[in-house]
Amino acid sequence: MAFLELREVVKNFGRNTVVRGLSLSVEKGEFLSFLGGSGCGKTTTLRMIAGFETPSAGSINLDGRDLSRIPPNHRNLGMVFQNYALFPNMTVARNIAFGLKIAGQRGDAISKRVEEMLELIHMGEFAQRYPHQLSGGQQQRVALARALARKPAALLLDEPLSALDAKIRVRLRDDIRAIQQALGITTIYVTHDQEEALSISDRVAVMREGRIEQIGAPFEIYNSPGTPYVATFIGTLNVLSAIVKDAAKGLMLVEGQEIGAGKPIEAGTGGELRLSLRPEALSAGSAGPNLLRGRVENVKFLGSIVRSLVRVGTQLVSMDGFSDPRLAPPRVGEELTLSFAPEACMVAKPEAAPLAETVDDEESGEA
Amino acid sequence: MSAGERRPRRARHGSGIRAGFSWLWILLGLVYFFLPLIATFLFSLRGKKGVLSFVAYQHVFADPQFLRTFGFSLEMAILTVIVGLALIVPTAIWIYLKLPKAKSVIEFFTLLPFVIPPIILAFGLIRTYSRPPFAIVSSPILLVAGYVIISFPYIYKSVDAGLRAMDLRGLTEAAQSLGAGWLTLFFKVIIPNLKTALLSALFLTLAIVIGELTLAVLLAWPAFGPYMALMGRNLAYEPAALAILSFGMTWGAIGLIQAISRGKPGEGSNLGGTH
Repeated sequence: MAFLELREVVKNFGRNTVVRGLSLSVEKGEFLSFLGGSGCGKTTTLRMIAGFETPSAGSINLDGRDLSRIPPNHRNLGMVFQNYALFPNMTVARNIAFGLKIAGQRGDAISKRVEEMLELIHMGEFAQRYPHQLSGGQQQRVALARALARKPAALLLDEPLSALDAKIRVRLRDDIRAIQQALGITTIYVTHDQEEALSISDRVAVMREGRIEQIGAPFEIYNSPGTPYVATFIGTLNVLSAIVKDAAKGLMLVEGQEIGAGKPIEAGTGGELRLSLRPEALSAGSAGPNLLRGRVENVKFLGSIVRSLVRVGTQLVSMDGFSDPRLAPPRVGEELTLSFAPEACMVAKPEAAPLAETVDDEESGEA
Repeated sequence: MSAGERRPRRARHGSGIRAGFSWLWILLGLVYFFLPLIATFLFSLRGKKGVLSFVAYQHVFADPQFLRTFGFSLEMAILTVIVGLALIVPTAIWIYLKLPKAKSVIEFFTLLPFVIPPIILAFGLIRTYSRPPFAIVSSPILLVAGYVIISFPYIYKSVDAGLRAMDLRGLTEAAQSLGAGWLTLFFKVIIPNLKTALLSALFLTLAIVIGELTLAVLLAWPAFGPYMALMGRNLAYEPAALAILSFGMTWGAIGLIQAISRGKPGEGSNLGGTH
């Protein structure tokens, strides 16, 4: 049995079913993220593990014991909240010592552990400060130290970075990962930010409507999305309509231009298809086996990346290229040929595609 | 033309005049507030003919009835605070955490002591509790119970403001995840963060109960309210002195709340009222 195991967990709030038969195994020491938009059940699932919500059905096991009858204060799980939830009446040191005191540890053992934790988060000189004298990032680090001080069986983080600004978010997320790896603690991380989930986790569980849509390593989730929803939710995706030319050879037509998927397509010749392409899988040039000719309609400069919007017939395709100081970026109005490898083609039947609205990189962070 | 466009020009035009008007209104407000106070104070100093003196204050303090009634009322007020807080604080926390829907019901209850005059309350209490099985009309328990009802809105509003100012659910869950049971949560986390709110509840209740008249008269207790009323009927300068004294005590209490709550983390000026 895995270290943490959820079996067919269901949660209803009145007539609303928020989690619908979710099963999951997490190995000891693993860092797993729940990723999904608002209302997908990710936070509710985490809160059921923590004990703040009771599952309507199903079971949750941790290290071989059934958690369902154990109140949250006896589960020995560390929890970090979105809004820090530090005790405002206590100093940093006393916040960290809180759980140790309850565990009945002796005074000198407590102060030694508090010192260790302060060192872990590099905040030794802040021991006597009050939470309101700290920045958001510092407060969240203290919250992390407080949660870890008791050496909990697992660490649960509920959108811990979403109240912080971008720079600190990235730094703290690397810190969290480094601390997690140093301690080898099993960690469940809830976020709606795909970049965060992909960069920090051993595995990502993409959630939707109370179920896990796909679970896998970040590389796997990004490059071989198992469902159209995952494909559109993760990263930016061009979804083009295509017509099957030769199913056996994997050939199709996009706006009359021939594209090869490199493998047979499961569809009848002449049938309609959806062809999905990542913007970064496309490049300008006439070298590749697959070519799409079009006209540049818009160019967005995003710092390290230049995103060009190219009209191919009646359809729009995004192409991402690195900002290269030696190359001039595409100009609006210019004719451009897009080139891509057969492996870049993600093909789906249109009827099997309850596609989420194509989510843009910048927008997905706000869901 | 929208209001937004008009505003800057008007501000530019008459900013000096407007500032002047603001100060005029503040001045009028201060006069309205302080004039009667100063007049009362000056009046209280005229106990001896022809000179200003504190003789009226001396009379007040020399009267054994003053200290006796004040002591009695203070005792009742402290009991009221203890009972009121013991009832209302856990209830409010429970409602915040488990029954947020009941908030509106409690809000309605907090209006009742204002809607139902104390005289009705007093007669209701007398009728209900003067016959078995609850013949306690001659016990101070009934007086304290009545005072708890009268001060309930003030205590609840203070506690409510205090709870609203803190992240009760977050703190509760954080404490629980660190192994805290309800008692630890209550005494180590919630109460310390409610300190200002509890102090404001304490002083509001003291102020209300010490000067309370109707219940004390109808239930026939030698309290401070009836004593003040009696003085007002029979004497001239001493009631003015009493008024100034009680005013001073109230302000002293408010100053004390401010002093204690100053600089406290996470609990700025959430004194009673809305926040």
